[in-house]
Amino acid sequence: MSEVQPGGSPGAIGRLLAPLFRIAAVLADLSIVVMVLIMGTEIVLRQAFNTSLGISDEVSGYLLVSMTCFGIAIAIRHEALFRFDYVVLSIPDRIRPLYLRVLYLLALATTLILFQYLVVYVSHTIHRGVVSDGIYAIPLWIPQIGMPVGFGFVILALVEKLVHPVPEAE
Amino acid sequence: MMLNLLLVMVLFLLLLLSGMWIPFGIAIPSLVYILLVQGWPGLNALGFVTWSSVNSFTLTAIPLFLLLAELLIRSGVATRVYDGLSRIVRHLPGGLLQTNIAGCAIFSAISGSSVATAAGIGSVAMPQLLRRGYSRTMAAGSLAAGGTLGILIPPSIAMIVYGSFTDTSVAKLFFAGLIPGLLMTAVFMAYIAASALLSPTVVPRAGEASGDDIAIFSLRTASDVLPFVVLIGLTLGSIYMGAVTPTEAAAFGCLLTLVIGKIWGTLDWPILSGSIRRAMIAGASLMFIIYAAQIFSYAVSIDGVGERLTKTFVEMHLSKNELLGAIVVLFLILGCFVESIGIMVITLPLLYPILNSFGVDLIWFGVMMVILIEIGQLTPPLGINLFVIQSIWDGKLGEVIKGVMPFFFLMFAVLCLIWIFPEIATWLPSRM
Repeated sequence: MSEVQPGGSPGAIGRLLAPLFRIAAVLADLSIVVMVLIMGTEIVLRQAFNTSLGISDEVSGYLLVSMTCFGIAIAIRHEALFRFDYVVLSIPDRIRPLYLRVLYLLALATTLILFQYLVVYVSHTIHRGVVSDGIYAIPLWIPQIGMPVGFGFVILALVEKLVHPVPEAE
Repeated sequence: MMLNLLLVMVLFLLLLLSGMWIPFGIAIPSLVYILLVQGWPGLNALGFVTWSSVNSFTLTAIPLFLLLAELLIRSGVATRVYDGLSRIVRHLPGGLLQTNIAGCAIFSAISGSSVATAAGIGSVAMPQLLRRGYSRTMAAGSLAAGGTLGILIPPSIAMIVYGSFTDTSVAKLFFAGLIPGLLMTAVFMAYIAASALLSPTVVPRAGEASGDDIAIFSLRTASDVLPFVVLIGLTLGSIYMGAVTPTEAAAFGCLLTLVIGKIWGTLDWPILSGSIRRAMIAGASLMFIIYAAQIFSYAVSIDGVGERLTKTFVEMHLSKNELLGAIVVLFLILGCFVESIGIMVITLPLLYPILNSFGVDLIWFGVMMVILIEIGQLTPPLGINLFVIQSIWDGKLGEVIKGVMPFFFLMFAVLCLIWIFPEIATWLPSRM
């Protein structure tokens, strides 16, 4: 959906996973687009016709969840997460991949913990049949499913980083 | 136990300095904190914490304001506004340097991000400034400092985050930042004018460039500036009038920008899709930090450390000013190492109960905090605006830092003014 490309060549695993990440990126992009459209419609309905969609606040929150969870993996691939990189850059080129792998391994372990608890949480939502408080009583597993799926993409992005800690073009 | 918090803070600093991505640098110590306090059962709440921290209508404004800024920069709207403004203010002492500050101020009124403001105006201004022979340090300094207006003049992503952590009205926070933002703009412009009058090397003597022959009062100038002014008026005006929420105003601004870009013929599919993608990536990066900080906030709440810290501070019999002085020093130190939103989200869960117990006006403190964060964005080694400006020209980081130093002290002076006269920040929101 865009010309923005990840830095450097992603290597074989990157090429293998690229179609999956493309899907995640499009889902995250679409979340923003739908947010704008829903809120634009809400403003027009409210100001011009004195009525309301009744779900714009609720659905916007869901879309933010979707954008965030699918977008984190893309941010990792684009090296867009903030970091204080003085130490990383001062490490000799020879040792840097190993050092980065340690950092990425820690990040992967953290993500796996979060992923596990997200799966459990969404499973409970499904089994209990929890619905939203809004007027349409949306089954909450629908917006929540983006959380474990999105973190699944984060795991894949971190695995890719572990294999190629420094992009080949660097 | 305070020892838990201390261990967690040490771990956070170690991870931060080691080069770990900031969201993971916050999330890892937070998980350790939960494990120390409640063991593995404590992690059972992670799913709910994730859902409740990210599923937020208020925070939806973040990606939308980022999208708005991207659309303005990439569709060339920012360039035309800068050109139009340069015709209006270039006759002031300081010439185009004044345009930097005026441009950043006006761009801030539609962009909630200081990075977007510095990048948007800087990328347009820097080539012109260097071509015309302006002082390199002053050019870089004015752009880096002007960029910080992005999070003070409403809308402001920092204030959205602050509002979500402290349950204060984002609309009131926005308008609390307006007068301080305009004051800061005036102080910056006065300094540039004084420098230009006192030091002839700051501004080049002659050298007309293309576009200089266009009059201030011309159709071209009006068409460059007016659509942007209308955009600001409609988005901020509609928030002030209570017609829309800040989040809706962001979406409304995006739609208006699409219309302006289409009329000017500067918007096409690659620009639109590229803007969406960049806003999405930047938004997800910021939201990840906020999410990680919410895990930290949860850990703090189950440990009850906020209450204990509050009790400790109360028992120390500190005055409100002494407390605020300590917070200012803390923020100035953190600003050297931690990214701006990172500082805010890490400290707020701890500071919020303390500020409440000392009866600090949270709207006023929000403005103070944002100015402190702005100062942090200019403080090496992690002042992000320094790097933004350095990345758009061929200069050295040292030149940017040298150029920023006077603005750093000016910002501190404005901070002291707002400290002494809180009405500068609180008067406008009290009228809402």
